[in-house]
Amino acid sequence: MSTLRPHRLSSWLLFSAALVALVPALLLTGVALHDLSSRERERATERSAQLAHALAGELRRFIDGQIVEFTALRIAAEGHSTGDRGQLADHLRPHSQANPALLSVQLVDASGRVVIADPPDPDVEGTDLSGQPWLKEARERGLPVWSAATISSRTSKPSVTLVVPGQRWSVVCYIDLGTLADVIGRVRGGQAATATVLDHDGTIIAAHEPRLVRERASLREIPLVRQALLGQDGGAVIALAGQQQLASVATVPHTGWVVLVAEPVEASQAVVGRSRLILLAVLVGGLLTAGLAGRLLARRILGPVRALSERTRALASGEPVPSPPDVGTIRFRELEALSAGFDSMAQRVRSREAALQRSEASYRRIVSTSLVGVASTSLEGEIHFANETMARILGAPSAEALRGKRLTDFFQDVAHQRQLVDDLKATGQVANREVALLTVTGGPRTGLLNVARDGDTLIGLVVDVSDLKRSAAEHQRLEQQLERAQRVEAVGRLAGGVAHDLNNVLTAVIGFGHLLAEALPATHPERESVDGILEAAGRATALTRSLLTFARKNPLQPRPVDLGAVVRGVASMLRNLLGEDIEFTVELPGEPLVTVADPARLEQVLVNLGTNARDAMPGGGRLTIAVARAALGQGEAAALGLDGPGPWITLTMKDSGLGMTPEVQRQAFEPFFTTKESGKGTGLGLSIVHGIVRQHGGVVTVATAQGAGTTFTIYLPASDERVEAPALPEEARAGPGGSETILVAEDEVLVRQVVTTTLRKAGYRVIEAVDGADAVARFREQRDAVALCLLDVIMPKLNGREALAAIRLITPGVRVLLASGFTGSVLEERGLDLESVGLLQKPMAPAELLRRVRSALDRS
Amino acid sequence: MLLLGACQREPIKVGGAFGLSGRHYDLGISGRDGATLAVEELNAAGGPGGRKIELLVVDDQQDPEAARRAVRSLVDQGVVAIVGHMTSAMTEASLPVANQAHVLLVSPTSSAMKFHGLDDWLVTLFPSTRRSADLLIDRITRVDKVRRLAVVYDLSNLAYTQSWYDRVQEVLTAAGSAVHPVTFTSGAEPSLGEVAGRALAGRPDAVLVIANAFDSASICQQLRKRDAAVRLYGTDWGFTHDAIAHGGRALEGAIFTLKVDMENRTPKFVRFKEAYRARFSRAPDFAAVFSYEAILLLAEGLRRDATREGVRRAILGLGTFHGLQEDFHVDATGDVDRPQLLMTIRDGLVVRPE
Repeated sequence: MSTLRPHRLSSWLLFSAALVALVPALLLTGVALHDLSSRERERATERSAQLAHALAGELRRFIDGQIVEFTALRIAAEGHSTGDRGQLADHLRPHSQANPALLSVQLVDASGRVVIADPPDPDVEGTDLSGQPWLKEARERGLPVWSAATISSRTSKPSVTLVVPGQRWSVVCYIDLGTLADVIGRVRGGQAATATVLDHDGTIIAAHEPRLVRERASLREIPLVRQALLGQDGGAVIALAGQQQLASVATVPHTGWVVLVAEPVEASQAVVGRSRLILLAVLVGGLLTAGLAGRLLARRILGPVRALSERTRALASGEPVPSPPDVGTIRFRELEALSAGFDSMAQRVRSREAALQRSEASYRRIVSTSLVGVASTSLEGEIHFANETMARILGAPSAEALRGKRLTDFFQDVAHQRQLVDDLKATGQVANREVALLTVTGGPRTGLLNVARDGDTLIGLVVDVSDLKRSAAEHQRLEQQLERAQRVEAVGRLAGGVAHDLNNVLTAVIGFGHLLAEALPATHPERESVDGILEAAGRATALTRSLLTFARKNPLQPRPVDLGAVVRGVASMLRNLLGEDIEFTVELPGEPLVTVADPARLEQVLVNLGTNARDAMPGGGRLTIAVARAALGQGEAAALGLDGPGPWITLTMKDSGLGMTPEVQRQAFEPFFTTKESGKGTGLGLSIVHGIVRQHGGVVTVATAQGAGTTFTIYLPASDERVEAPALPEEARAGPGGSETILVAEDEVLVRQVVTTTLRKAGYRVIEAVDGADAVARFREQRDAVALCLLDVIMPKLNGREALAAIRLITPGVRVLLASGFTGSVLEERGLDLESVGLLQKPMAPAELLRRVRSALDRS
Repeated sequence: MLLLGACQREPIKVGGAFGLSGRHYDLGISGRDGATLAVEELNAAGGPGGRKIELLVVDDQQDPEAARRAVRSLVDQGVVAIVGHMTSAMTEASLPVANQAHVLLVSPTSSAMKFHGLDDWLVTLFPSTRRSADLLIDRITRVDKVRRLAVVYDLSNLAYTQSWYDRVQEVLTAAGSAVHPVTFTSGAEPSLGEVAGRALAGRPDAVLVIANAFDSASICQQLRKRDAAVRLYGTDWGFTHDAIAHGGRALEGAIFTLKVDMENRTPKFVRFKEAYRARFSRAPDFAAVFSYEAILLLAEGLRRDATREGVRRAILGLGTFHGLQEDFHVDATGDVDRPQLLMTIRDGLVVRPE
C-alpha cells in the first residue's frame, strides 16, 4: 500500500481543466510575446537609428551653418589690416549679436595673437593662442577645426572652439555647447529616449544632463562609441547610466562627433509589456473560466460521490444512512449504479450488524451474569474489560475500576505470575490453574484460572473457589472430629462394659471383704490382708467410676449452677495445685452465667484440666481461666458439634505451656492415652473431662500448637434457671435396717450373696431369685409378703425391665429398686422409667445399699 | 561552495571626492579619471584580496560646504576610505568629518603644510608645499638672484596658496629681497589684466603665479602683454598641459615646480600614460598620476585589511610604496617624501631649466 497521501479528486478535476485551458494559452502567449518583442526591438532600434541620424543631420546643419558663417567672416576680414580695428570690429559685431550660440568671436593674426574680440575684452586682445592645439591643427590643415569641449575661462560654460584658418586672419569662435543641447532637445524620439553628443575623443559635449558635459564624462569605453569614433554607424544594447539601453550611433561629418541615441530596453519594450498584461488578463480570464467549468463538472460528479462518501461514513459509524440526494437533471449512469450497489451493500451490512449486535448482546449478558470472573487483557496483562463477577472476586468496587490494572498484580505469589507468563509463552494457554489471589483490600482468595491467547489479547476466566476450599477444609476438620468422637465413643462403650462387669466383681469382692472383715476380730492376723483387699477393691472401684464417668455411665446430680461460682469454688485449690511458678488468673463476668450441671463433676473437670496445665508448664508459666458468654451462630454451634438451640457459655482454660503435636492433639481425649511418665498419670484425665462435658450436653475443644501453649474451651448450654443454695451434705450414717420382705433378683451369685447377706444382717427377710423369670415366679408366690423388689437390670431370661413389667402386672404399685453397673442415663435410654423406680448404682457399699433400700421402703 | 562564495563576495566601497565643477574642475576631472583607470585595472585583475572595488564618485563642487556634504554622503554609503580631494582647501574643509567618522582620506594632490606631521585620518601623496617652495626659492634667489618678487596667488585655494606665499615671503625677506603679494579670487575677477597690472606695479624682477592652470596661463598672458622681460615662476598646480596650451608663448621661459616628469620613460609610467590616453583620449596630467597612485596605495592597504580602521593602520605601516616613477616612503602620519623637480617651457615643450 502506498504511503503517499491521496489527492483530492476535485483538485485533480480543477487542475486538469486548468491544464487543458492553460497549456495551449501559454504556448500561444509565449510565441506571440516573443514575436512581438522581436518586432518591437527591431522597431525601437530602427527608431533610435533614425533619430540618431536625424540629430546628426541637425548637428551637421548647425556646424555647417557656423562654418559657413565664420568662413564668410574670415573672407570679409581678409581685406582688412591689423590697424583697421574699427572696421574689423564692425565685421565681428553682427555675428556676436545675431548668433545665439556664439560666446565670443576673435580674429587671430598669423602669430597666433588675438587682435580683436567681440564682445570686446581688453584681457583677451593681445593674448597668445599659438600654444592651442586646435589653432595649430587648423593652420596645418587649412580647414576649419573643432576643439575638444572645454569650460570657458570667462563664462565657465561648457564650450567648444571653432577655428576657421586664413592667410592673414584666423577666426576663433567659442560656441556655447548649451546650444547643442537645445538642438538635440528639439528632436526627441519618444519619452524615454535620450540623445548625447560626443566629441571626437568620446567626451560628452552635449547631453540632456548639463552636468555630464561639465564633468567631461567620457563614453569612449563603450564599444559602440569606439566603433562610431572610427566612423561606423550602428546600434547595440549597451550598459549606460546603470541600465541596459538600446542605443544607435551616427557620426557628424567634418567634426568626428558622434550622436548617441539611447532608450532603456525596458521602455522600448513598453508595448510588449502592455501586450503581456493584456495576454495575462486573457490568460487569467481563461483560467477562471476553466476553473469555473472544472468546478461545475466537479460538483456534478463529486456531489453524488460526496453524498455516497457521507452515506458510507454514516453506515460505518452506525448513524442513519441519509437518502441519496437529488442530482438534478444531469445524471450519470455509472454514479447511479454505484449508488444502487451501495444501497444493496448497506442493507446487507445493516442486517449483519443487527445479527451481530444480538449475538454480542447475548454474549455480553452471558459474560456479565456469569458466575465466572471474565477479563480480557493485553499481552502484558493490562485489563481492558472485566465483568462484575471478576470485580467481586478481586474485591473491586466495580468492573470499571479494574480497567488499566494488571491481572497478575492480584496474584499473591510472584512465582505464580512467572509460571503463568512462561506457560502462556510456551503453550498459549493455561487451564484450571489454582492461584492464590489478593483482593483490592488485601483479602485472600483462591481462584481457578483459565487463560487463552487470542491474537494480542488474553482472555482470562477466574472461578472463585475460596468458599469451596474453606468448606473442604471444614469438612475435613469435622470428619476428623467425628472420627475422634466416634473413637472416643467406641472406647467409652468398651470401657463402660468392662467397668460394669468389673463392678459386679468388685461388688462381690467388697461385699465379701466387708463381711470377712466384720467376721474377723480386729486383732486377727488376717485382718490386715482383708483390709488390703478392701483398699485395692476401693481403688478399683474409683477406677471403674472414672471409666464409667468417661463413658457417661455415672449418674449426674444436675442442678442450676453459676459457672463462675464453680470456678471461684475451686480456685484456691487450683492455686495450691499449680504451685508458685505458675501465674494463675481467673477472669469472671460480673453476672452469673448459669448452666444446669453437676457442680462436683465440673470441679472434677477444672481439676483435671488444671493438673494437665501444670504438667505442661514444668518451668512455670501462665494459666488463665475465663468464663464468658459464647456468641455462636447456629451454624458455628453445629460445626462444633453442639446440639440444641443455645445460648452457650464458655469456660476457657489457657496455659502458656509446651503445647501439643497434632498427633497428640488427635488422641488427647482417648482414655489411657498419656504423654506422662509411667505411673504419673492414668491417661483418663482428659477422657473424664470429655465424658463429663458431653454428659452435660456440651463440647470441649482444644486449640494448641507445639511451644505455643494450649487452650481448652468448654461450651455448655446456658440456662435461665435460678441458682438455688446447695443442700447441706447428708450426714453420713450407718445403713438403716428393717424387717420387711425383699425380693432380690440377681444373676451374679457373688453379688446376690453380698446383697442378701447384707439385707439379712440388717433384719430384712430376703427372697432370692436367680434371674428375671425366677424373680417373677417368686413374686407371684409371695406377692403379699414382698415389700420391695430389688432387681438387677441385666439378667438372663427376663431382664430387669421385663421382670419389672411382669411383676407390675401382678402388683402394679409394688416398690422396686433397680441395681445396675450402668448410669441412669443409659438405663433411661433403654426405656426404663427411673422416676417410678429407684436406681442403685453398682458397685455399692453395704451402708449405701441399706440406705437406699430403707429410702425406697419409706417412700410413700 | 568556496568558489561560489568568492564569486559572491561584496565589493569594497571606496569613495572618490573630486571637484568636477567650479573653477578648478580640471584637477577634479583628471583625478576622477586617474582613479577610474586604477580601479578598472585593479578590478580586471580580481580586486585587492579577491574583492572588487566599487568607486562611488561625488563632486565637491570646489565649495567647502559641498565638500563636507560629499564626504558625509560617502560615509553614509558605507565606504571604507575616500580618495580625494584634489585641492588643499577642500581637504581642509572635510577632514574634520573624516576624522570624526574614522574614514581615511587619501588625497592625491593636497599639499598644504598644515596637513603634514599630524596623527589624523588623512594620507597625502603630494609632498609638503614647503619642499617645493624651498626648491623654487633656491632658484629664485641663488640662480636668478631676484631682488624684487611679486607673488600673485588665488584666495579660492588659500590653504595651498598661503603656504606657498608664507614660505616664499619668509625666506626671501630673510634674504633681503622684497616680496610683493598680489591676491585675486578665481572666477570672481572682472579682469585678470588688472591683476597682472597690480603685479607689475612695483616693477618686480619676477612674478610668481600660484593659481590654477587657466588662471596661471591667463595671468601670464596678461603679464607678457605688459612686460615682455619679467621672469615668470609657477607651481605644479598652475603649470599643466592645459595651461601650456592656453598660455602659448607667454609661458616660454617660465620656471615652475613639478612632482611628475611627464616625459619619464619608466616602463610602468609609459604603460600608464598609454592606458590613460587609450581610455580618455588625452594625455594624463600630474593630477591623474597622483590620483591613480592614490588608488594603488589604498588597494595595498585594502589587500591587508578592508575595514576602515584596518586600512588606515595598514597604509600607515606600509613604509615604502612603489609609485609609477619611483619608490617613495609613507610615514606613520601619512605623509610622503618624493623627489621634486624644477621645469621650464622652451618652444612649447616642458624641459629642465638651465
